[in-house]
Amino acid sequence: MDFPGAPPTPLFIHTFTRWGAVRDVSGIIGSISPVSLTWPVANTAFYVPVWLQWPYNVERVFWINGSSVTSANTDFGIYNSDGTRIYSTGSIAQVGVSAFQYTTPSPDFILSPGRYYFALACSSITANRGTTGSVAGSTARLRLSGFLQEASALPLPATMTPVAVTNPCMPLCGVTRTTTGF
Amino acid sequence: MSDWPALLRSMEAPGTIGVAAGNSLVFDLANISGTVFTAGGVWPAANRAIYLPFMVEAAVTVYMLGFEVVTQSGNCDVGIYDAATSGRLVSAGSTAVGAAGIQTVDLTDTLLYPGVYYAAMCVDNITASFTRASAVSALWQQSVGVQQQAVGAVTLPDPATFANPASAYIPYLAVALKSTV
Repeated sequence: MDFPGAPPTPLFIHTFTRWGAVRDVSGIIGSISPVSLTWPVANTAFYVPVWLQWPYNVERVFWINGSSVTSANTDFGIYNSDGTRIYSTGSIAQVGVSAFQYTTPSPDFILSPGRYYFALACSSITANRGTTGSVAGSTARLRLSGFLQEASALPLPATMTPVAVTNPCMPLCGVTRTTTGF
Repeated sequence: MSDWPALLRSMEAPGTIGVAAGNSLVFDLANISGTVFTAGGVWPAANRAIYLPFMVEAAVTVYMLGFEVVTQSGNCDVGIYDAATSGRLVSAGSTAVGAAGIQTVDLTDTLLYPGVYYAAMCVDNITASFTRASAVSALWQQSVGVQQQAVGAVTLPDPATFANPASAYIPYLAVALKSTV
């Protein structure tokens, strides 16, 4: 181990972990469990605040598809707190129902400690082709937890131009420092 | 403050790292979903090992693993794995499942440096039941790193061969950082 030793980091960072703002929403409304979602508005992106307390090596990014994926495209991205895109997958066809879908950035990169937005946009509003996440909670509670959204944002833009949340959508998406498995 | 690396400090005072404790990566599931570990459920498959990830932020010594038996039957094994290597660091070997109530299983005292580890448990039958959570889907468990393995025997393997979870079953395992729990 290099002196003085890198801090341990979790296997996954995603919007439903303690480092994501869905945790804040659950603190307001109580229990939240992810389910297969119908995306509320085609090509709308949702921005979920995430914060990191240590450097985190992003080897793969992921989201979890809903129970249908036909003709649905998704774009996952990471923005800094100023709204500048750090990384995005680009618009990708969903593959695999009710399953993790990973993309491997090349090269891998490190997120420094700080505040970020994890973004997810989806092209389809057909039932269950959104992703896995939750629609629990009112838009007011999502706004109080820092969520944002943006219309016509697939592919994800280089710079966020977000507006206040009008749809209660909380996608489960994030990053992992693992290169394989899961 | 000392310039000496933090990894040589002792973790501040936790007696255990339980599945629903802050250092457990399963905490996120339990906390956000409001999941409780108050009811018993039979082990989901004979000789299936379940691996539950937790994070150590400062060096600690593990003395035992504990869990709560609801129905006594057969044998189990418990142990600790290094998530980076999948290697087994310590395990008890086949141990009779005890009578209903808390069961602690002694392990060889094992120093864990900062990192991510798995607390593991394997049971050789589907009659024995343990306090567990049943409301968290296998897919959601996967999102924090929970894993499983069809071992084919009760003894935990070395190394582990991880697979994604197949059951909504999270036993309440507690890693004991004291010799008395």
